[in-house]
Amino acid sequence: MKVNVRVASALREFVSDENIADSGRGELVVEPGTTPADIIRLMNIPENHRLMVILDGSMVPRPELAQVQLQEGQTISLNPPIQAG
Amino acid sequence: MGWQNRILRVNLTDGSIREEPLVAQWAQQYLGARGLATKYLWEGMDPATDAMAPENMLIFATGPLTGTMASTGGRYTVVTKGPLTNAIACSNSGGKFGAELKLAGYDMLIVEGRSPKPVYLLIIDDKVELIDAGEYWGTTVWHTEETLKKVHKDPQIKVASIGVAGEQGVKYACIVNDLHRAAGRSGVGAVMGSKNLKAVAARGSRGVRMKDATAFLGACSSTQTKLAASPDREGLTKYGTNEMIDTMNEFGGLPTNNFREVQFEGTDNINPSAMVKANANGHVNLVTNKACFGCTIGCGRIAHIDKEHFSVRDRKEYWHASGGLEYETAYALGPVVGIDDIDALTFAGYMMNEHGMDPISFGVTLAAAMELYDLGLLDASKTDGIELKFGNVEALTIMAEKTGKQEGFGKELGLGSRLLCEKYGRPDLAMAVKGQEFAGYDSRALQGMGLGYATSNRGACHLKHDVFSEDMADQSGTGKAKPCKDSQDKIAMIDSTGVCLFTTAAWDTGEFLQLIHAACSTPSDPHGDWTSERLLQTGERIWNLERQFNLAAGLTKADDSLPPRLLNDPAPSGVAKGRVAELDKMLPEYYELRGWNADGIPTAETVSRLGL
Repeated sequence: MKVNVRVASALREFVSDENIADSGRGELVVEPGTTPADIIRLMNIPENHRLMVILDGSMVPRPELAQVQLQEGQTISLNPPIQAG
Repeated sequence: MGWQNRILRVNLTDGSIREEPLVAQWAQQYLGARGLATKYLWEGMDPATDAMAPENMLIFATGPLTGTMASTGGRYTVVTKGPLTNAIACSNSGGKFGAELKLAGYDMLIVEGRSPKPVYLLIIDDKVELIDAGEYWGTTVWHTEETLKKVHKDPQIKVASIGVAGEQGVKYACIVNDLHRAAGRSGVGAVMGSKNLKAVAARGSRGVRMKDATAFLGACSSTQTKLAASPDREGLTKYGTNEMIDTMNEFGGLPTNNFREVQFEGTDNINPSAMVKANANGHVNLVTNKACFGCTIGCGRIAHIDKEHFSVRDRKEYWHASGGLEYETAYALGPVVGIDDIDALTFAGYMMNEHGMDPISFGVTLAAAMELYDLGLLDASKTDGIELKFGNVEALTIMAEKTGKQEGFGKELGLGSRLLCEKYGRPDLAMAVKGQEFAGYDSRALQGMGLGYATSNRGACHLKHDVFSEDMADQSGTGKAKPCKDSQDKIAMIDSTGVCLFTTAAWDTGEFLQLIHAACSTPSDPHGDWTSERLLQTGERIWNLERQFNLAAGLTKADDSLPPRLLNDPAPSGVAKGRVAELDKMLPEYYELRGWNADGIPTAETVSRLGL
């Protein structure tokens, strides 16, 4: 199945897929049952890196990253956490 | 120790300059910078005084860690009554000016009165003089700073100055130091202009004595090591504060088109990736990062504009590198006015620095004007022929310059959003609290931020509280009052030390305690027995004294509010889609936690407990 991935500027240095690293977005073909944690690994983002994950406009709490199963056509967005600036 | 124990008091009305000892008891109670200057303001003037009257005091204050080896120890704060809000103004800046003032031997510079003619103040250690500034009046910040260094034959002099915006009373004029660092918010530059004070130029060669130098060096080393290891610090160094823009956009908290929307389609053109990507001409916006005095973070950005861009094509004077996009400039000169042209944003940012204006207040005021234009309440006949439509790049660059020079419709934009929207009959369109415009976070997506905005003593401000982790975890207003209140107290303390708030990427109260405990003592408190509890209570005392100033200035509970759009119009998209700001739920809980009555007034018990 296909899912859309969006990666914030500050995380793109980890991404090996050149298109996603360059534009911050792309489409991935993944197996059913794929979780946000799997996508984070696919993007080469270190396991303990501080992250904020948004799936189709809803936050995914960290404890649920390995539990939520992605669905066809969903958009997953990987971002650094918010801080003052 | 930690303090220089000297105050410089300058009366511009009679031209007198005198030194006086620091009131040590106040230093123990309020530390320095924001806190100590607030105490001097409270004791020295009637809060009901008109902000632009000679009787208003303008205080440049350093903290006990300013000018030391503590990481980021170069901060100073300007405290006064602000013309944008008619409340206390407290504006913090980096760069190197603050450290230079401290190293010249002064904890604080207090400016009173009004000079009969334009002057600047020169401070070279003990040599302090007021000098005619007639030839600088009407010129820019950049011209003033560069010329003063040449005239005094010392490139190491550090200058804090105002542009025409400050001279002519733009409500959100700022004081710019080191060309592109600024005491940016609440109109402190307009107060400086009202006093006919063009600049303060400082050069210092003293050191700062520590209570325990060995312990202090150890504290500096351990806290720097902790900061160096922090991934949040690393993000600030690599990407600057604009790292935030993608996150806020995805979250649905990025105010767009005067807060009509909360997500912006054009962030890919102005985010950190865009800053390092070559455009069609091969031009790359970002040149390098830059650190302030003693800073081991280096979040500042230095950028340059494509010479082929329409804004500078025939203007070589803007081809050099200067201050680049940070998150708040990117937001306020970008999404909130619907613009994603990175060179136009950079040019408008140059205008803010060169003419001395707060980009947040300017951008949000322009956004309000664009909405008035969209509604037909303004038309091109009133806006110098410029179509003030959201997304109009030329409207941004032209109006930034016109406002800085106070020409044409720029004079109206210089009023700030509250007065502008009142003038055109739609005060509800001003996205501001107490008259000060919002930073780049929408209160419908970040409820704790909304409470912080509403209760901030200097008007809407994102830097006086920290409820980000709670706001990310939960988009409701539940449980936000306590972290908001606690972080306000902690940040009031941090702002009073003389180091940068961004150290909180790695530091908590314990790190500040290490530094302050090793640095600070007074004759009546020779051991400087600082504890975490004492530091946090100092912050709470400062917050409450600011509140008392505002109440005495005439502000009330009604000023602890948010615009109707945020309270009534649900967020149109993002993680908080359908939500409004839940201020009615959070505010009573906040007042109770603060020890204030239902009208937001500190109770007698609270006043007594804090020794106010």
